Amino acid sequence: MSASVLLVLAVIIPLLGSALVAVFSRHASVQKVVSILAGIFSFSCVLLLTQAVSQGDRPSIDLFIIAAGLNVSFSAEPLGIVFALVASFLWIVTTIYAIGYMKTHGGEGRTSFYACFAIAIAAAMGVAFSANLLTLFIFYEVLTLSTYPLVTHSGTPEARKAGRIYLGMLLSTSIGLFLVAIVCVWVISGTLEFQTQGILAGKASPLLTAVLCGLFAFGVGKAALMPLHIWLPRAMVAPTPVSALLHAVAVVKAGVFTILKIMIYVFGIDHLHETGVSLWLAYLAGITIILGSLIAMRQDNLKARLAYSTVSQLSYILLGAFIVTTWSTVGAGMHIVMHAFGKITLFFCAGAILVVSHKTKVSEMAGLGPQMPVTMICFMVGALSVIGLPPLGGMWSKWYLALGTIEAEAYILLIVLMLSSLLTIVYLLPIPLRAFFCGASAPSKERHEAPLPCLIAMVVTAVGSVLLFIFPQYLYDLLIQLIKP
Amino acid sequence: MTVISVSPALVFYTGALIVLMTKGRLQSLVALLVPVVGTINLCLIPESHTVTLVIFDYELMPVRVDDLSLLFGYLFHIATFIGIIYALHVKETMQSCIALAYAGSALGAVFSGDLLTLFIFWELMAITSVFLIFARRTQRAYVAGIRYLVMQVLSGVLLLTGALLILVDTNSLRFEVLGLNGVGTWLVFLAFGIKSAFPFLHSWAVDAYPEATHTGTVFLSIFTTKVAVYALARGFPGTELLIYIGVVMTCFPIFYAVIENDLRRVLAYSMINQVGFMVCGVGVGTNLAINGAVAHAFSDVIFKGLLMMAMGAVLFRTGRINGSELGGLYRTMPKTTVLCVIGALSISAFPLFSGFVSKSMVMTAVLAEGYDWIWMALLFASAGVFHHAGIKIPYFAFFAHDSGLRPKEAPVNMLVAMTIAALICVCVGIFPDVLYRCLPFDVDYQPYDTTHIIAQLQLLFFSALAFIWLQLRGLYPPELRSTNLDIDWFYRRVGYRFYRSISDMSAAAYLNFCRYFACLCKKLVVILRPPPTDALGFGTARMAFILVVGLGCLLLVIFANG
Repeated sequence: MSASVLLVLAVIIPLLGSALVAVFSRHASVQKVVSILAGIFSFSCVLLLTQAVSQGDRPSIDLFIIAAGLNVSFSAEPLGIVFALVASFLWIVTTIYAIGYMKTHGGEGRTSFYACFAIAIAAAMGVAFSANLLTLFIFYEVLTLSTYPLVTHSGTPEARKAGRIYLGMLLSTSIGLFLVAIVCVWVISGTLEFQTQGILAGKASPLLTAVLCGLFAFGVGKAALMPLHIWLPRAMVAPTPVSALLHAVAVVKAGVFTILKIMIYVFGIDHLHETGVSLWLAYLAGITIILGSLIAMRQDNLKARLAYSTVSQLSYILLGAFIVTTWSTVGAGMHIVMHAFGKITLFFCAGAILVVSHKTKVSEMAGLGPQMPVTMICFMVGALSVIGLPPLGGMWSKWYLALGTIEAEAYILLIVLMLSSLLTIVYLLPIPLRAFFCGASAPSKERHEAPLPCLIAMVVTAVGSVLLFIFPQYLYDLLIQLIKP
Repeated sequence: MTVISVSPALVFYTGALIVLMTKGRLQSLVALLVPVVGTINLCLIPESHTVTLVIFDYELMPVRVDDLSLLFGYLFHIATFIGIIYALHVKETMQSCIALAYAGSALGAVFSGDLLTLFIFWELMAITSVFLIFARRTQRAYVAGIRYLVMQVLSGVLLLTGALLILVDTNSLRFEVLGLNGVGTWLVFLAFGIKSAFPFLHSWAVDAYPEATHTGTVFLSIFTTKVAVYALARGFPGTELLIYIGVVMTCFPIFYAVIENDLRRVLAYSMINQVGFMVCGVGVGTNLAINGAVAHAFSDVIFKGLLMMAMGAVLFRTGRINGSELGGLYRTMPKTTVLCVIGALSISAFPLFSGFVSKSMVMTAVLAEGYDWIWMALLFASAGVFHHAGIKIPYFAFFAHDSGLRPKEAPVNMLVAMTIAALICVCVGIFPDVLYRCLPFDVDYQPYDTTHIIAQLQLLFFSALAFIWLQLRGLYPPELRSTNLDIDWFYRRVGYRFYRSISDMSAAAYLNFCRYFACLCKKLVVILRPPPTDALGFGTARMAFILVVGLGCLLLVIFANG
């Protein structure tokens, strides 16, 4: 099978899965099997592609041509592969988790849940493999639209309001800023194709480049750069598997991935690095990191706290993207993976706590440890990875991001990164620690864990975080191709 | 013949895993076997053995064995063995597992040959050790633990930043002599400084150590500060600044230790004081001084461990640790009393005990380099040690006024552990050559000459006299239930206020911002929404607005590009 067919398959299989889920709307078990199988197939496609890409191939395929120079086409490059690997692998895990979660927590609307989920993943894969800005934009919007029903899944007034904000902010920024920026790029360079050296180098003045950077940075609202992060904490009304996969992995990572990709393949690393015009955005990302942590500290609702933590952590990646040194790019790419594994574990645990004990507030969770040891240990592992401590994967991405700030001589940002580690300790670690060591209020000591599928899912991602610490070399080899093609 | 040997840290991590999976007697057996297997493994490691590993594009050296690291390696194995015997009665899987993992991390740090590996184990030490504090399961221990963790990770973060700066500067991550040149090395220095409890950075030690479990404090007092001393000896030998820092470390804790009531906190202050001697030795940097620092680290681990174990036994049996609530325990805990006195004699550097043979080495080295005033200050500190650790600890716990407590003698396993430690103290004191032979440099040094012994005995005699006189006249600061303000008051009160105000301010600013942003959005929506009455011109305003924005952008593009 040729590699370019695999590209299409990786996107089509989740779509097919979605259709099958809709067809078998009465058979819950068939839907689950279909979802998991689609995930496995899609993941294997990406794995096969990974092999090709790591050997230096860049398979690509044109789907259809709209006008001369405007076509919808896919291509595989290291960054896209990394994102696709993460999204498709974690989709499998999240589906397993959702099986356990939906069993105990509201089974209605199952069909639309699984179907929209699959479409969202297809869109994320489309974003990952897009070969030009047009394709990227199309799939970006599909992702927004397909996740809207998931946000409003519960149908409560609160959920509807959150959904309106979600859709309103993401659509208006993408059309009002992102699209405008794309048109500008088209006008300036006459092409929208992603190229290794960038397509704007030597064609746009520094001022224009700075303006365009800003348009992209705010146009991609999914990246949740402050002040456009407001939709993210609101979207936490969605069921936990949705929050886990979409608001820790697929949607938000699609945002930062888009920015990173544009920085590398549209502006060009060397071009941006020489002019330094995107540095102001890096400082904005730095502010987002600190403010996000400070706000997270004051949230008593666990999911809201995790959401602000996500806002803060996404800006790590943005910071790496906007500094545009060789190492910060590698660090940003790594952080997509590391944060995905860490944060999804945290969301899985938050969901498990909700399902079992119906607790949503951090202040109520003291003493839960003996009751839910597996959940709380996984939470601890996830938290340590997000903080960036060994022996977890988060350490490596922080290492390279910090190295990038030194390379760019942006020492304030270096301090921001280090300070953020300490802040993250203060708002994440007390949750599992108080669960285990402040246990006077625990009513019953007997074990009462979430359903088995939930536990499997969270253990898989937690172990994944550890494995990413021990074997980071493969990821590094893939990402290093970005800067040493 | 090829000998199969593995990284010393790996033995302990594996052991910790096995402990996690076993229960009861088997668990205790495994925990006891780990340091034994580790020691055999260490003996099998060939001299100046290194393991290299390429990760990313860095050449790392996860294991580097030389005389300096080997001595600390053996020391940590012995100390872990004693600590585990001491903790045998604690049937808590987590504590034994964590203790082994903590020991493994400390060994990993000591044997690491590059800054990246050092950083990894540095942080692992922090996140394993903190559980020994949490294991007390009280609210006090919990908050002290969080403060401890933040401080320790801060140290790690500084180390990481320093390592990165050094990497960019020199293109190498080797952990060799660094010296204070450049920001990177200063940060690394500061990182080491936090862990070795430099003045103003020391509060975590006196804050958290006394809050740990009675067995946990024993482990805590063994590793963290000694790894930091090792790191200083490796990275910054002969840095003159260290001499002055060391002197301050030896002197200022004395005043706190004398007025402190919690006897384990007294020992924590005393630990800073002892580490001060080592830091001083590292700062002098001659072969003799480094030897002295390392030797003193060895004896300190054993005698400080012994004292901590004795106080732990008291805490375990009586549930109290404040000097004001204890006293007269020698009646029912005679064995613990004797062992504690041996520890006290060692820490006070009585001739024939281990403190004497190591501390005198540092003192001689300081004098030999012409730091007369420093030597005087160290002498003062030695007298202070005798006061607060040598006399105060055993006196207030076991003698003094009768508190009426009649606890049982410490459990057998505790006594065995303390006896082993006491034997080591005495053996090293009587046969110092055993220790000297393991030191990193070959130095011909003889502790037992007339001047030394006379000087030391005079010092001890007169400070004992001073104590007795002060006690009889009622001038000695009585043991009171009180809170003594240390530098951490500043962190906790002023720092917390600062954090609160920043946090409040940012929260308020954030809310305001959100409100304005929402207002702006609403206005935009109003502009974009077509007026309902204007049926014919549907959406003109909206179209016009979008067009204007679009054209404006295009104009900007052309303008900026031209």
